[in-house]
Amino acid sequence: MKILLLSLLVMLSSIQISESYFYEMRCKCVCPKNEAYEEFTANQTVFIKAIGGPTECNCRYVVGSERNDSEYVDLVLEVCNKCQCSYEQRLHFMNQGVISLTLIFLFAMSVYTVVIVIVNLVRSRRKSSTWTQIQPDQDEEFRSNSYKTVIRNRLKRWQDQVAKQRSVVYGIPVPNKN
Amino acid sequence: MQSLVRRCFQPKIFSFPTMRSVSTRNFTLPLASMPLASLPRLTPHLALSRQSAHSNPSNNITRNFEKTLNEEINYEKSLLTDLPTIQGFKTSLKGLEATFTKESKEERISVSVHANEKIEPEIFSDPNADDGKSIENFDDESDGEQFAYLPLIYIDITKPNGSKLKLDCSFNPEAESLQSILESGLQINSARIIPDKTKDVEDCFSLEGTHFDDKLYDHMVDYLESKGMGVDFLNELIQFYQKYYTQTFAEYTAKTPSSQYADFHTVDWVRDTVRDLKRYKQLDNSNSCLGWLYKKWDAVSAWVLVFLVGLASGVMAGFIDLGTAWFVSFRNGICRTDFTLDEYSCCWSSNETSFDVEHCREFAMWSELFGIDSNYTFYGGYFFNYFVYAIIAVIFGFLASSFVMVVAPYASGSGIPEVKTILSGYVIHGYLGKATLTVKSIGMMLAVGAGLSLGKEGPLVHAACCCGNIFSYLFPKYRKNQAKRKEILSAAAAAGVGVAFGAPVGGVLFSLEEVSYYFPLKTLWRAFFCALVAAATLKYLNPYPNGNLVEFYVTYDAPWHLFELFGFAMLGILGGLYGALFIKLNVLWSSLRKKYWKKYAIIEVCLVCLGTALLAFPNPFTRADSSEVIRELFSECGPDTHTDLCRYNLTSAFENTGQYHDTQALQPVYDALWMLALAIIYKLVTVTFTYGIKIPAGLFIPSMYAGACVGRILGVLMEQSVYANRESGFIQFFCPVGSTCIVPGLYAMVGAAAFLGGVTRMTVSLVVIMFELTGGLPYIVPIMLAALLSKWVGDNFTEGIYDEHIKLNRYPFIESKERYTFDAQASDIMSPRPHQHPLVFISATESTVGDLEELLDTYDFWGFPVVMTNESQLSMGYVTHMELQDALNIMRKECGNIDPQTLVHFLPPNEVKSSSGRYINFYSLLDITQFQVSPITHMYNVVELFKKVGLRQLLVTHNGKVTGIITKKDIVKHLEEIEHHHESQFLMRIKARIGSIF
Repeated sequence: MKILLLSLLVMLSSIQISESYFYEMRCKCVCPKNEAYEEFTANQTVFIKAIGGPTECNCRYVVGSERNDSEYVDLVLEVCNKCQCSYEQRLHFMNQGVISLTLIFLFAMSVYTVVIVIVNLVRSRRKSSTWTQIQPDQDEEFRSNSYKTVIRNRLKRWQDQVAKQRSVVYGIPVPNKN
Repeated sequence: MQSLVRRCFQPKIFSFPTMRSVSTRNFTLPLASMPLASLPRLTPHLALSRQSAHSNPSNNITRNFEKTLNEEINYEKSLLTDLPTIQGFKTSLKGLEATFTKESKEERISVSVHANEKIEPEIFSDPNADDGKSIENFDDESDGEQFAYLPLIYIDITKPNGSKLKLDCSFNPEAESLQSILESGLQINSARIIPDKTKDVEDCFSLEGTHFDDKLYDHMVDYLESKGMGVDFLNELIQFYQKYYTQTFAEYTAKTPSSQYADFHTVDWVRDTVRDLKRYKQLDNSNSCLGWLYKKWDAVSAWVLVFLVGLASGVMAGFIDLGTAWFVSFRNGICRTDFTLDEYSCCWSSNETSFDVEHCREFAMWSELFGIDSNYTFYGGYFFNYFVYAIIAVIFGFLASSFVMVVAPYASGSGIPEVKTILSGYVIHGYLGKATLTVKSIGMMLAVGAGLSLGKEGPLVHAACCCGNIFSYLFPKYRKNQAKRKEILSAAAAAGVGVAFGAPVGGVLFSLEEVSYYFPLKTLWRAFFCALVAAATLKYLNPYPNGNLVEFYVTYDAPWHLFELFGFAMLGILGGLYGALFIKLNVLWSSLRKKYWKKYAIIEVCLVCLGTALLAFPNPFTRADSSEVIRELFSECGPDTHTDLCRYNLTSAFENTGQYHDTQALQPVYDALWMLALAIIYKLVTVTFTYGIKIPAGLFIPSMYAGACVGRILGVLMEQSVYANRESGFIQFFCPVGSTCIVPGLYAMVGAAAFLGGVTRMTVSLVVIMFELTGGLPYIVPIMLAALLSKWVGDNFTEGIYDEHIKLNRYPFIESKERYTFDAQASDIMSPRPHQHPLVFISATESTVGDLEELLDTYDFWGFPVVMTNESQLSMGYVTHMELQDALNIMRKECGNIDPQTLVHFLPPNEVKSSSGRYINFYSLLDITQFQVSPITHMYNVVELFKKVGLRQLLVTHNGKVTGIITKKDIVKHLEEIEHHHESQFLMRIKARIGSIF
């Protein structure tokens, strides 16, 4: 829900403030390799320049430098004839934010998975060896009425649900509740 | 406890043989099906304890429970507002009981009525109508009053010295109109006189008893009148009761439990629709300002909900796209400057990318990072990268599959077959839950990152449906009604495809054509809106940096030529064949998996990951991300294509125009074509093994990949043959020199559509998705042709992959697209079939509590037909297992232990025989409107009923006698049998043909 609200905020504000505030924009021109134009496409075929908006993306600006004499401009135009330019934009902070979040999430989920697996292993061992030991625990669960119990019960119900799903998907029988 | 028992049974000494239609504790349907958690509102004594809980917050009740109770109290209060008052009396309400008191110095008079105790006057009861269940408003012809039931009235008159007169009264049930009811006045059934507080003795008079002669009776009536309980009082009381009764019970209807279906049960559309209509009617009846507002909110809520779902789907898809890109590039290396960047973002401002080195300096390959071989030559670096690639694939696969196994098993697979089944009216609890959504999202990124032959598009549909389901819980209208929720899920599915491909209109059509079962225009508009919101959200998140919403945007718009249709048609046929082959192989493999190694899913996933990675790495087309390759195959050759596919002989003439095609291909192009051919085989093999393993996996992208490869090969071959014959008159006619003739990318596009169509059997939606996905608006006709041909060819061999998987998993899904053509009757299909266990009935007059409990314990059926008597087997209706169980539980809770020998009736209250003694009436549980057909009804009609009306079950009756029952699962089974029959007949015919030849 929070993420939703946040993204809503981001959306709304990005509508209000101009797009250039958020997006990084670049113009990328790719030209075929051609030894004839020593100054331009002999070594390099990709030209990238940061720009301020989609209309600024033109080959002359990206490939050429600031020289303005007509000979140079003609040369640039000739090179640009065969180049392909594309305007690209990205949300840099979005990228970073999403990946960081995902990685944290991935880590948390791995920890959770490991914990659940260990707890299940321990529980099944305890159950098989001394089955009376589990009894007092359950009593205690019912007796105390704290939030811990609520959480524990909820977790237990959740685990039961997952066990059921597992039996459907993998054919692993639901462990006996006793 | 005494009072509780009274509530359930007519006390013996006060039961009156003349009062035929007295049915005191009539369990009404909504009441009986309440879950135990919401029980407190049912009875006054519990209502009391609830109020004390409310007034004493330090009570040890958990906060949640208290909150629920408060909500209920408020709700109750809001409902019981504008009740009429009775002159001279003070009204007090306690739960279902209303008490009117009048106090003076000499005495205290209290009159009480209970909403759950009533008689049903004969004039209003129609034995054929379903009046026990719904609170109908009857129009009385004489004066237009609206009422249906009359209360039982308890009058207590207490003197200051403690002596009491207690009267049990009712209205004349045989009266013919309201007027005559009022005229005949109160009917006193019994009178008890308690002379003194101290004494325990009481004198009891009853109507037909020995002590109650006419004189005394008249005297008593006069006495009551003198105390202010005359005709006016009665009139007011009746008015009060009608309103109170309706309100109180309307409230129960509203509070019917939402989750009324157990896991893996079929939704009864008819019942749910009727429930929603009732709810709507109730809303419509309220005239207050708040009611008006609430009505408006109810109308708008669907759109708000759909908006939220669209928003959530868009955000989710944006996140998943970004995340996937990172995981995919992580397989190759990592960004030196900022590890959270994928390769593309890492090289964002790098100006160094040159033709020879694919990766920019900022992005370090694993071998470079470990200093193995920074120059990326064959020995050393290559094998190290190969090794890391495989290891990472296995790790990602392992993570994804263990998340699925431990946290949310339902997140496995593409989810589309299941969503389709759910939308057709089937309940799978937890399939669209939060955990599933979470695991599905992260699993999708990992699975694509592992380089498996799968796509994230199918799972996105499932994830969007999860969003739809989760948000539905915010709106009571959808939370409580499964059938209504399916409309939202249809819209969510549209948004899912919309964001997966950036094709909102295609998404809506996909939902209509492929996923949804029930898709009225209203849902269409909502789906449209949902897809729109989702697409707009995604656009703002900007997952594809080319500024387009879609991934495979093509820039060419050269016209295609008539003779090319031949090539497109061939692609269509190939697509159909590929689809059929893939489906056959995959279904075979999946059924083997189901049988033998379902449990070892994680190991299987790891093995598939390893195998895929080992096979994929050597071939540059399979090593790269599938989407990337598809984009390259779709696009025209240009200066920015790196692969060998574009090594054409660029003569000076062409170089001037900057054109890369319609010219001679050099050897590298043919090498690349061989690579593509290998990639097709690789894809077919790996996707066969992959689709169905227990991680999130869709098959849009793999199918499109295979199609794009075939298409590109065909395209280049066409192009080269045209180039070789460019001087011929035929070619000259179509492509004069200098114009664009063949665009191989177009063939890739058409091929992708054909192959995807072959696998999924989509047509309209596929075409729209394809042109939205590529922006190739001029190429609709080729794509249409290919999609149609692939469907025709594919349909000859198998059904679509989703339908095949539905069948494989044996979900109760009736294919709505096919026509039933078999000659059978209802009696051939119904249970019980001749050798089966006979049908289990409930007798409406002879059952006991013990019988019912045994029945419920023994049989796990969804419900039971109710018949008049076991002997006559006359159909009365149908009662569901769950509701019966709930009613028994609630009764047990209210009344303590009940004698198992107690009779249970399923009769209209006025038909209960007077000699019945103690009984419980469950008439209100009975679904009298259950659909019935005759045994000789043609199966075509039966199947159509199930398809179009959305029935869950059907009773087969002959002369009113129940002879069998047909459920949706019976129909599914029958359709399956027909298919097997057809198949075996086909095989036999072929065998006979072969036999005759030899």
